[in-house]
Amino acid sequence: MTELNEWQQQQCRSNKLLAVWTGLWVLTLALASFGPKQWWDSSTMTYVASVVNIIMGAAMIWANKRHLDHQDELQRKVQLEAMSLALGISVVLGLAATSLTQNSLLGFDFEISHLMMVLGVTYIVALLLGMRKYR
Amino acid sequence: MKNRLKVLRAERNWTQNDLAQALSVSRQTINAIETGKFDPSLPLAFKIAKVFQCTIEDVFSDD
Repeated sequence: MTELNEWQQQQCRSNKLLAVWTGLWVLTLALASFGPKQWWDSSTMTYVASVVNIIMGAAMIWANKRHLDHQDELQRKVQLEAMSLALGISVVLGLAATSLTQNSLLGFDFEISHLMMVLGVTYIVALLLGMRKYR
Repeated sequence: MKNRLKVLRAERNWTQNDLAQALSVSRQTINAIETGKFDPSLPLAFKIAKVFQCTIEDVFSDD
């Protein structure tokens, strides 16, 4: 019984699909962000790049949903715990940082990219801890 | 919740991976159930009992 069964094959396929759509979303986000400064001088092109980026984002969300559908119940539990922790920490820290920025008490300008970094790092750490917990 | 998963598996000479494949779950899930870190849902418990050709009560018991 060393061959992958249908469930494992589906998991592999959904993992690859998620990786592909995430990669395309990141690529089109970079294009929409840096294109106007580096490659073109047309607002129409920027609109088109942004629309393509949103379409890739929608595909990535669909791929993520599919990825979750193909996980077993323990894997879903680990994902849920990681997502709830990442969302909670990001909301709490994000709003606290916004409040500090509004009162000029933060040494730097708090931006959405900082929040995305907190969200990403928290999610990865929580996911690794969850996987270790049920190992 | 206690379970006899490890015993039933050993009686049939199955590895965790064999059982995981039969149930369409990951090997980690089988390990987590065996070590009592994770309690399966009712549908998965029924599936486990079916694979071992016994009742849920034969596999799982209250603490």
